[in-house]
Amino acid sequence: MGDNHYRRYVAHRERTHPGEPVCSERDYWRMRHAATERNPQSRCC
Amino acid sequence: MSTPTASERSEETVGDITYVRTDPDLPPVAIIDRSPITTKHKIVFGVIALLGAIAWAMIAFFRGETVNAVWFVVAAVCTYLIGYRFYARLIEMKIVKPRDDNATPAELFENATDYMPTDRRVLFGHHFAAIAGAGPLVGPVLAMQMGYLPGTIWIIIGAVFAGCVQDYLVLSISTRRRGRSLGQMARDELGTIGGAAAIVGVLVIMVILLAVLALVVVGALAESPWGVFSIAMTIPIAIFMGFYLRFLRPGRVSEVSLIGVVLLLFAVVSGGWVAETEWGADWFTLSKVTLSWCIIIYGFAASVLPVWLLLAPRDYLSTFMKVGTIALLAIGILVARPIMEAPAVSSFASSGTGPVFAGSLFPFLFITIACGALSGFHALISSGTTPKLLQKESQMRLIGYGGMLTESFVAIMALITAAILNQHLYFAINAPAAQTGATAQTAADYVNGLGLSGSPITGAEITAAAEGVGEESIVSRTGGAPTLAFGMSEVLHKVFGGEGLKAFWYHFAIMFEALFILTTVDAGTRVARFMLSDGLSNLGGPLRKFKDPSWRIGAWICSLIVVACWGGILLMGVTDPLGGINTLFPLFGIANQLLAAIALTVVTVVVIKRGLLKWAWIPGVPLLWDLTVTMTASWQKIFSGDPKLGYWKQHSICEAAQEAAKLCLTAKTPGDVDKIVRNTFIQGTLSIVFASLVVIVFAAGVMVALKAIRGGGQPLTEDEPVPSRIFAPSGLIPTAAEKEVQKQWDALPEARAKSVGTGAH
Repeated sequence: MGDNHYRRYVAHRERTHPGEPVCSERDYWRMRHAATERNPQSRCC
Repeated sequence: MSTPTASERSEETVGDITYVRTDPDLPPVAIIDRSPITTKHKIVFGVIALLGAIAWAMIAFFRGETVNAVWFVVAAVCTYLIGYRFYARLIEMKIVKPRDDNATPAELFENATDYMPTDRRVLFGHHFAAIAGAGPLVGPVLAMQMGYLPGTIWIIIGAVFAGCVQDYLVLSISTRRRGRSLGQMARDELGTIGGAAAIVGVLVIMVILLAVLALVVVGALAESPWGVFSIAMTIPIAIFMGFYLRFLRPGRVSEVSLIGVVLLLFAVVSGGWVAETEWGADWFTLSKVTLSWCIIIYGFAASVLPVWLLLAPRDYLSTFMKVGTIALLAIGILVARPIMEAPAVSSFASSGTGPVFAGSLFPFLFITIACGALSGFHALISSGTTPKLLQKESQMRLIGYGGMLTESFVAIMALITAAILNQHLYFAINAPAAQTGATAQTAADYVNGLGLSGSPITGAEITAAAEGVGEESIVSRTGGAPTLAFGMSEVLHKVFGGEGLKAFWYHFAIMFEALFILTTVDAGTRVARFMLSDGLSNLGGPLRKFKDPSWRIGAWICSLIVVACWGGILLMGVTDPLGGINTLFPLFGIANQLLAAIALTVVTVVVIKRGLLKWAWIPGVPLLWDLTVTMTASWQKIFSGDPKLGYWKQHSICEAAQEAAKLCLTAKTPGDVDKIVRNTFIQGTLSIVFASLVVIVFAAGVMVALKAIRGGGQPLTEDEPVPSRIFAPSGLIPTAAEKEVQKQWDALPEARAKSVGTGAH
């Protein structure tokens, strides 16, 4: 359902940008929702 | 991170199994299993085939008094297993040819936000929740007018040979194109004109979809204070969840969804109390027109409010409810084992004079069932959304083909819930008010005159049935949702809670349908707005400003246009003197099936361009069938001289009546005559627009395909493959070899391992 998405994100950042600060869980979800806002996903019938 | 070159690819074969590595320092990323079919496997599938054959024989040929619903479940599941094991495998081997040593878009562009390799089981849930909605529930219920047999055959066979094939192949071509959308792929593969027609087609079809779904909700909630209250409560519940996730405990999605579901159940229960009070009945008994305006305002507000406030939490809630309720219904049917009341084939199948929708079995049964067997809208999910979450190409069979099989199963369950109802009651609920007269007694007289099997019904019995589910009346509750809710309460109260919970289950089912229809309305309005602003910005000039998604005024304008379009059709539907759902649902079905024709055209062209002409029949036959059905239906809707069927015939009759200041068809006032003239004009025009757009797309497809067959056509637009660096099993249950490789990945130190099949979800 998305519970582990932030953990995945942290792991991903550590792998791709080691040593750089990672945003907080709160900010991660803000970013996710902002992305959905820009690029809405369809739901079917 | 360094990308390995092709030369680092190595294969190692042990017995029948080949292990493919893309990096000598990493475990294998792909397994090619050529093991022959074992005897045990043959026996298992032999038994499944035999069981399925027996179940089909029971449904189709057993003409005793009663057929048990369990046979439908058995026939469906056995056919699905055979289809998935053999037909989907054939498609996989001959057309899709998955390459697990190539990275999927999810792996390639992983950003842990929208591109994210997701465990196949979780993704299956996501994909299913995204494709399944009210369509597979409502369509089969309406199609029950023709008896259970035609619907059952089309839902099961149509899914195996058409719906699943479309979903699977669209997913596969989009995955090889970085998750491009159907519209973009149409432009890339069919050229500018075909592509533009496809994009306009998608937009127009989207609008009619939203209108008809909203119409279904209005049909379910009108004059029902209980239903209106519990649905209204979902808005504050979702907003509460939104605040919870944003400010209190971000990321605790399961936790907040559980809280939401509990609140939702409480909202359904308390709806019963509220509806009994005087103020409750006063406030929440809304007419169809008022309710439509509420939904229109809601749709607009929800599409311009921030995603986190309403859309995201509603989506969690509706996913939870969808999966949970469908599982509950499956258990209910297996435990309660209800008996079919409907005939195998009714007289309306050939006469085409049924009150629920006009037209004969061919083509209108296929139009009405729509989503449960073949749904064009799925192509919008299979392209774009799902490829960005896919770990491995070989999982596409499970997600694409398997996901649609599950939706088909939902449709079978919906069909069962409608078929177990007393047939007189079924028609009392589903015939338009113009026929039933909207009171229990007139409805009883009307359905008793239909020549149905079984003993006639009395007005008192209809009223008692309504009271049993806590409603004042159930006469002419068209749209399918109330019938489904009625059938679900019949099944579920027998298993959970007994007679006392019947009214609860009815309203639970209404809430469940309305919840995800409203989620679709909300999300669909956003997507349509997006397409509209994209299209407007492409026109150039000052309109280019619409490209900027953060320009709020532009977003508001586009939302307003989209909402005005579907809202207008919705209002037209609820005030339609001819009945509304029975005139608009065929338009929805045609739109959906035409979108499937667009998707299948794109897929067939790609298959031919890849040089697989020999296998082009796999998407080609469903395409031709679908075109035949939809073009016949469109033709009849446009040109039929039967005033029950043809929009333009209705139009000309009422136009003549308008000039002579007389009444026509079911019109009761001169105002009704004006409405019919206007509505049939809009419906007739939409039919022509849909059909023309699809003919353009299909013609463009044929031209591109012919060029490719002759050689010298445009090249394919597949992306260059990039070697994969992750591993994940293909099917639902990992094989021994997959488990072994998975262990090797799990043993890697954290920093190296990128395997995603192991995370707890």
